[in-house]
Amino acid sequence: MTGTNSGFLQAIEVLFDDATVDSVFRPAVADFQGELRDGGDTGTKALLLRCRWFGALVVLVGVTTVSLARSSRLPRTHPVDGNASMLFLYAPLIAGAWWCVQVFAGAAVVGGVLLACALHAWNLRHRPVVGLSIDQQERPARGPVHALPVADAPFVSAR
Amino acid sequence: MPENPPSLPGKERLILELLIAAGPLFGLELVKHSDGALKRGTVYATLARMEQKGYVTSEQEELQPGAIGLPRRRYRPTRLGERVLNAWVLLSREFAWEAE
Repeated sequence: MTGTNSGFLQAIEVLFDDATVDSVFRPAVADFQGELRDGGDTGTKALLLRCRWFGALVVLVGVTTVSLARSSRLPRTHPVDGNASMLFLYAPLIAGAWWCVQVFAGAAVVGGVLLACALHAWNLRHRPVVGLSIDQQERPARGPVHALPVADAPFVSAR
Repeated sequence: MPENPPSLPGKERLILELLIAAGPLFGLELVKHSDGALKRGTVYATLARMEQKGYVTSEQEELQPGAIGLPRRRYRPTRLGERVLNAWVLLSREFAWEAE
């Protein structure tokens, strides 16, 4: 009973700061353990209780994340480890859809590796030419506008 | 007049009412006393927010020797929480005639 919960708390401690863990998640886990203790740790009732608490803790993670993001006065998630919370969003999606995407995912990984190897080999054989040199003698001379040669054209009156 | 007067959303009001009526309670006891108005997945975040606001205070229970698991946290209303709830009740009575 406590092993699973301590694992949950360890994962939560990665995502949230100590104040949030102490004020939000530890009381929830403590009540979960207390209810299991009072109601018996085995049997169908305990299984239903675990399922109910599992859903509650998942909701609590989401609610706490949103709640902390909306309130600037409360402690926040770790800035670096906040990215890890995205795993909570992606992991269930991938795990739930794995039965139908595993062939595609496997093919994509193998195909991507093969394509990367082919591109790397092609780049090794065809070194890129960096920069284009311009012959200084062919470059047109530049100067002020009044230095440009002007042809003497006869003045033609409009009349 | 304070720049940000205390706010009291419905869930926090219910928790204060339950704590004042029934005395210090655990989070799970609040859920059970609320007849479905409070949920296990949200009540702890609400209680943490109320503790930040100073509406409730909490203390850990004393674990029996040899007991397994984490100590539970028992919540009780603060004087500020009671005053905010009283102010909200007065305010709602003041404007009750407009709602009728």
